[in-house]
Amino acid sequence: MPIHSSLRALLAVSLALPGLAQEPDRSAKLSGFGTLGLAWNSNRDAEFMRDVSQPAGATRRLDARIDSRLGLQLDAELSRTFRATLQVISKYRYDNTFTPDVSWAFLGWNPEPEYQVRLGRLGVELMMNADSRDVGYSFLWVRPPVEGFGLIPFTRLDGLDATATLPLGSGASLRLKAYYGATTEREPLDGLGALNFRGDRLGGLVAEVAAGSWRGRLAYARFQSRRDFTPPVSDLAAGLEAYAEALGDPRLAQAAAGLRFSGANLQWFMAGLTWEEGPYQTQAMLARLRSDRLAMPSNWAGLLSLGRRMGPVVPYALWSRVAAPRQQVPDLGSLAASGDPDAAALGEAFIAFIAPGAFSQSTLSAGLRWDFLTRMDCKLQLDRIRSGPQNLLWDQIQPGWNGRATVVSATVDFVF
Amino acid sequence: MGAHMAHAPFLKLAGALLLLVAAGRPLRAADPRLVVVANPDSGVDQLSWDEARNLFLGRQKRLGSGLPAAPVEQGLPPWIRARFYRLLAAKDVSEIDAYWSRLIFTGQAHPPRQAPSAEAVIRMVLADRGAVGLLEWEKPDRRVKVVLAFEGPAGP
Repeated sequence: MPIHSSLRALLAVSLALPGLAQEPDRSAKLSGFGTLGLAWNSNRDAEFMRDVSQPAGATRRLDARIDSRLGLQLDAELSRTFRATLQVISKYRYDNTFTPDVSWAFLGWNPEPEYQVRLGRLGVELMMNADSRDVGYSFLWVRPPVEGFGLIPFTRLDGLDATATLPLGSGASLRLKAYYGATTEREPLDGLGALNFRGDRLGGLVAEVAAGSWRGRLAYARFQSRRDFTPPVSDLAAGLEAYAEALGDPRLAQAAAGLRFSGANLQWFMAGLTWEEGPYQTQAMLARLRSDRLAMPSNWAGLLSLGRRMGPVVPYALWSRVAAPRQQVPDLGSLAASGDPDAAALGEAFIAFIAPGAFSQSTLSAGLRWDFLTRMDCKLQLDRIRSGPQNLLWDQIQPGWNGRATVVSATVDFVF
Repeated sequence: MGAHMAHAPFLKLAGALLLLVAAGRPLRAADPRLVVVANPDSGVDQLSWDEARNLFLGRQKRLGSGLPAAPVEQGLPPWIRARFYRLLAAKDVSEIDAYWSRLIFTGQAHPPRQAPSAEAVIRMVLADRGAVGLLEWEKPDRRVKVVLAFEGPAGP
């Protein structure tokens, strides 16, 4: 039988009888998820992105790129205690293509039901449920709020994690997880190629308590860069260092150090709470990024989400905000005062590079999730966005952009 | 289904089930009954609602007796799962599927296995001492032990 028709038959069976397509021993299982999405942004002066990994975003044209994605997963049970998982995902990525990437590829070992150790490529749980942020069917909204999730360039690492799920008594349970590895991602840099995070170190801890309708989570993560930014950012740093020496101004060296990413130390602290009683679905999250580099300044992010099921429909409201306090920008006065036009241009380039990092933005959203078929939903969401004049989350910001936008989005999510 | 009421062991069982039902409403013969059954050698005589919820949502990995838990659901007809999760967690089955899709696609856990009929669930429970099976209890089956029973409005 040709491969495509057998695959189609398999898909048809999986869709018709979810979970029944396989023999109960489930030695191998193919599953998948996907989203078809359209987004429209009312403001033509900047492009709305889902996260910083995207090279472009939505303007006043329906955009099918930013939310659409497709994932396929193969799970194999190798023995009673060993299993392997491979997941490939196609989504709009840094190089302006939908080239599929391996998002998960690990060997898992469960010596006891409570303990799991995994080795390979793993998703990163930096924010609450951030490791499933591509699985639209798994969450209530059209997309995870950009203020909380859009700034994090890391979704996966090559390394290991270990998880323990332990009963706490009276029906409560505790999940503890630790992970460590090397990041694999790239991030586009406005018209300048891509930032490369391949091989940098990321580690973290997650503690989660589930009790009745409540789930509370604390998480910590630490990222350490082992490589510098590539040109032209590194050229900018080198130029500042040269002028620091020539003009004898240590403040320029300090500015240059803010652009040297090697050795950068970023730390995330996260607290989250969900309450899901009967028809109610509520979630709150607060996250703090502490950074020692001007290129990715410290910030606070938070979200609050409320939804209530009414039959197959869940109307919801969502508020999210990120704020980066004004950072101490080194005084570059000596560059302008030097009378050297190259020096002045260098100073301007420096400001232009670091300014978008220090911003604030909040979004108020209202939406509807409709579970219209088994394992399939469609969502409609309206976002009212207010941003400061500079912003990392937007692309192609035109002079005079007022930082206000209404984004209308519709998605269909499915899993099989 | 009324004919089964004549079975003395079943009457005894139904009486025991009534004690487990929180609402205390009498079972009506016409109601399709949902039960969770366990292997006779599981070392478990009954499950609380909390335990059942944690087992079927993958938050509790072992039975009270210490055996690794292996939940099984009767997948067909679909109202069985829908009613089970409505009664157990006041959740729509789509919310349960969304919950599991997060765990599946982050490689954290497998959802309960599914079997197409009550008989298939019973066979899977008999094959594994740690298995607990959700099924429609059409006729008493003494091969397995009922550890939790639900009453409620009729199914489809």
